[in-house]
Amino acid sequence: MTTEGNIQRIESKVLQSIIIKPSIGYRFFILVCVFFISLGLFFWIKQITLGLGVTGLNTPVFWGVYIVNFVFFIGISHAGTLISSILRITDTQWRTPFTRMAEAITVFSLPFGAGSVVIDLGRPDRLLHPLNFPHLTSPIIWDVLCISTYLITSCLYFYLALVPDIALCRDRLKNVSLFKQNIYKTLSLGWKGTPNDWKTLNKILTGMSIFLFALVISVHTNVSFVFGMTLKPGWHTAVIGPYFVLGAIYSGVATVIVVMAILRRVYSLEEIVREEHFQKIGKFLLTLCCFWFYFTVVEVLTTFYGGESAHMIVFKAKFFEEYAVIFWLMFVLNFIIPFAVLSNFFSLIKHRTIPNMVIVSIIINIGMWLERYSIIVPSGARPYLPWQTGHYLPTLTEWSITLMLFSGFFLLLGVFIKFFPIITLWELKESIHTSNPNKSEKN
Amino acid sequence: MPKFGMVIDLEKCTACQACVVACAVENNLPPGNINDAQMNRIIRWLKILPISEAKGGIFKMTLIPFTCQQCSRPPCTYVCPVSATYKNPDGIVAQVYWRCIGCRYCVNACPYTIKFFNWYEPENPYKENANPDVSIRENGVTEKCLFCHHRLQRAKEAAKYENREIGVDEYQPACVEACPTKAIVFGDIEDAQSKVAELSHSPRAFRFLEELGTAPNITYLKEIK
Amino acid sequence: MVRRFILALIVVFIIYYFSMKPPEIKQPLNFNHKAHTDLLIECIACHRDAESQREAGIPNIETCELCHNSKNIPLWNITSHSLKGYITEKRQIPWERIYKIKDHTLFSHRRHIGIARIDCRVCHGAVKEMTESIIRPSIEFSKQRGMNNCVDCHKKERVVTDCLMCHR
Repeated sequence: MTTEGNIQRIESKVLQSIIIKPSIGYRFFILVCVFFISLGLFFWIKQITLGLGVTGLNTPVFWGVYIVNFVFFIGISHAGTLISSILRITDTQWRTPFTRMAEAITVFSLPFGAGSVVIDLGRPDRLLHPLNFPHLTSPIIWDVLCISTYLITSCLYFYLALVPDIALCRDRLKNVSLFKQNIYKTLSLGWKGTPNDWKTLNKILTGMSIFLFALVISVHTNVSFVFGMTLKPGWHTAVIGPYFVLGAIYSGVATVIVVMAILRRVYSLEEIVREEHFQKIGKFLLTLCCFWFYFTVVEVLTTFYGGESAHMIVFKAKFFEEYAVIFWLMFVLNFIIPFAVLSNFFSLIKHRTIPNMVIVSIIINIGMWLERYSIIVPSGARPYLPWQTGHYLPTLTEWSITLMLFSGFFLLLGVFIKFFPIITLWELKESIHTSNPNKSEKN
Repeated sequence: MPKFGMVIDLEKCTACQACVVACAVENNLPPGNINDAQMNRIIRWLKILPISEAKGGIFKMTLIPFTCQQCSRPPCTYVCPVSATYKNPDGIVAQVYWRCIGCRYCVNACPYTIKFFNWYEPENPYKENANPDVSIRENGVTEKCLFCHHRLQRAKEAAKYENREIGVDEYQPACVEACPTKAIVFGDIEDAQSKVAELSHSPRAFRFLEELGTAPNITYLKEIK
Repeated sequence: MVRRFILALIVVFIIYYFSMKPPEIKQPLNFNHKAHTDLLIECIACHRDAESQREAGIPNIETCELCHNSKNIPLWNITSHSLKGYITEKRQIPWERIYKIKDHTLFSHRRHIGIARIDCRVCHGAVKEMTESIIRPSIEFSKQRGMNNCVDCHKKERVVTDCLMCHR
């Protein structure tokens, strides 16, 4: 089969996901998302009118599930940038089938991360105060700057990489509704695919990748600074910066695996997103898993060895007392299970199969959510002075709003795949073009 | 510029909580209800910190009146994104309720956990009997002890109107006034003549969490064993 | 389509503009400030707390009575029927408050008039030329509303700009 024919076939296969009528499963999925969003909105309105008292937060535990969600969503947004920009700079080949979805996850999870903070505010009506009267020594202001820059940059990056594919849709999809055709026409910005066009696009994308690389590190370090800059036991540690960055990438990559595996199954893209791609990204996930273990040990050991009384109280609460279940569950979900599966630990049978990796990735995401919980809540519940130590149990309001955020994220992804190609086709073509001559040489 | 500070003599203190009540009434604090108490959401700018010790089979409880330590280097002010809390020229750690966005970052940053958050619209049983110098806080803002700053304002205003210097005892927070045993002494720490300055250098003096570098302006005097 | 949109925007703006105009408040009596100040009565003669208290105060009926029920102006000589009624019945005149400041700010007349000696006119405008009751805040007052205007003047006059001084 010729390369051109091959590309043609792949193109029509990917574009199929836009053309085919939405299945019952898809409609059900959208319906569920919309249901949870409206439920969450109801509770959110209730919270705004009554006050934050409807949550389970109380005097020593001032930050709870909302801040956990904030860190979590900003965390999974790092996958996109990592996979598409950092691996673009290093020119890693296996990233190509994942880039589009990874970037989409970035762009769609960031608003929910930023939104969690707004939900957490006691006075959401004064949302613009940090911009009008910024106090520059506050890590929250650093966060506002970083995250807004990150959001704008990653949106632009996502869109620019989408332009050639939108142009392709415009040229190829003549049978879709007029609405969609109009969208393609407007958004493709008159892309013609001339060599000059390509040159400019590549130049911009490479330049932006380098900028995004710096942003990835700074954004999540800044998120960690919100905690690290206070004197609170359990938060005030230098390792929290890299720990957060690593954790972010870890959960982000896991999310990409889940989303990609589902799409591969639903739209039968086995030919494009091959087993070997998953094997590579699985090994990458394994590396991150080991790093995560390393950081956890470093943090825990430093605290334990220092043995400072206030820090030890938090340490004990996490290890043996009230929060022990969450901590050890987190450890099992984040390290033991993923490590055993991804490293083919019981090597009698091969564990690192795609279904297993999906399960592990879901487990990692739950584990990472719990990790943020076990960083944020126990430190709040065990303050320096012997006040009545706090307890915190999230209420129904908090859970519904959390569900709202997650379903909002999935809804955006679900709508996106019905409008635009889920694989970066032009990059895929490039990689086929560059890899094919080698193949023919080998043959 | 004066630097106001407080000395609390634990030997004299009987833990009668008159200061707690005086503070609550002076600053229009909501009395709180059973739900608030269950959720640990009662707001008391000044409250009693119980420190229990068990040594050699003897259980001992020390009750310490505890309020905002008015740190010289307050960790809460550095982290506020909108400058709602800051160190004012009188050396008081200020909180502007109208600016506060309710992010609760300062409350987390405070190592003493002595700032409070309004989880609901605060109930106001005082109605027209509320202290007109202190506003009733709104839903979703942080509040804290301001060393009865409104009293300082009144004293300053009166002194200026009458074209004289502010007197030594003219400005006293409500808790100091209310203390029946005169365990709480208030004044200008920088003024070497004042009783506060003298007491804060007493050999019995200690400060809470001084090792964190917050430099609190509230000094405690140890009990005599 | 676009034209219609712009039209709608203009309509919204007009409605917004008119709704922003401070509403007129009806006063129980037609009070002539000019007639009083022409007799060289100072503001502080009736608004007695302006120098010494936080609020300047609205004169009570006893203050009115000092003149309007005295040898110079005996009660039977008052042309205003309603004022006569208030005085004879010893009822307070239910003046409507015009100048309001939000609860979270503290404005002290003593600081501004008693200590700083600012002319009343700066905020309250040409009250001395008014022949009818005050039914809405003066233009000067409306202009000076907003914290930035306060702070501008405070900076110009080099007086305290500590937030806690006015926000309570």
